[in-house]
Amino acid sequence: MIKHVEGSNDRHLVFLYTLSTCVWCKKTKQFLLDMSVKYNYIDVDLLESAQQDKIMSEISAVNPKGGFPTIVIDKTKIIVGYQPESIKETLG
Amino acid sequence: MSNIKSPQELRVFLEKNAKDKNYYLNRDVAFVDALLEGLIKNLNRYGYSSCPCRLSTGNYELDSDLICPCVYMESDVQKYGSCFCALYVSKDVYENKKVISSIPESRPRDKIFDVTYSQVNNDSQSNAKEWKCSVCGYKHLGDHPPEKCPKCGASKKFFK
Ligand code: SF4
Repeated sequence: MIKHVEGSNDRHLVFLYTLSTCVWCKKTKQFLLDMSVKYNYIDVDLLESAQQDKIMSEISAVNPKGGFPTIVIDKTKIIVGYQPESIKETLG
Repeated sequence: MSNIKSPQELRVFLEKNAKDKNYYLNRDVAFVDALLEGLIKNLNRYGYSSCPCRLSTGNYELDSDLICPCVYMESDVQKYGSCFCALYVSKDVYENKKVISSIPESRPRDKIFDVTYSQVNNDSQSNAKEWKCSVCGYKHLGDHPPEKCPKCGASKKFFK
């Protein structure tokens, strides 16, 4: 269920919670691709509903307000929404 | 509007709807088309066109605040200049071609996290009854008809 995207910038561990239908998520994925960042992601809407419960509680732990995409960098830094500036600052 | 299949058809419908109500669609055509595809995907898998940028449960009652245009749209457009998905923008953003960015989630936290996605999906399939909108033919499964038809906007009383 976790999808991998290869990239030459692999200095950080980058994980995204996304929806397959959300356009800010699409733009974030594209932005990472353009920056050649290696990342993993889950499209939560494509999961079986039992797994959605588990993943949603994971998201609520790191992003209490909710919202997609939720980006977790090095297991500690959280970015919510399409934020090219902070992505560049953190991963650039 | 009973058979909206392509983003183009949906766009025409939404554009008219938006104009009537004095809202504006995002000028970025590719962006809007991608959202419209999302709305159509949701219409096909849930039976209503819920927000493409939020996770639906598949249960109409629980997702009813998310049917596009969602109940958060007007206040978000006023406050931030766009809705959560950036499908709709304010007059100011539209006319002055202002750049828009991601906005914070306005939907209450409990509606997102205090629901069980697995159970509701099953529940919604049990003892459900089929309601049909006599205006556009939209079919809704559930104990009660929806307050308003998610497809054409007809009120509850048109459901048979
Ligand atoms: S956030 Fe925008 S696209 Fe999403 S449901 Fe609300 S009005 Fe529609």
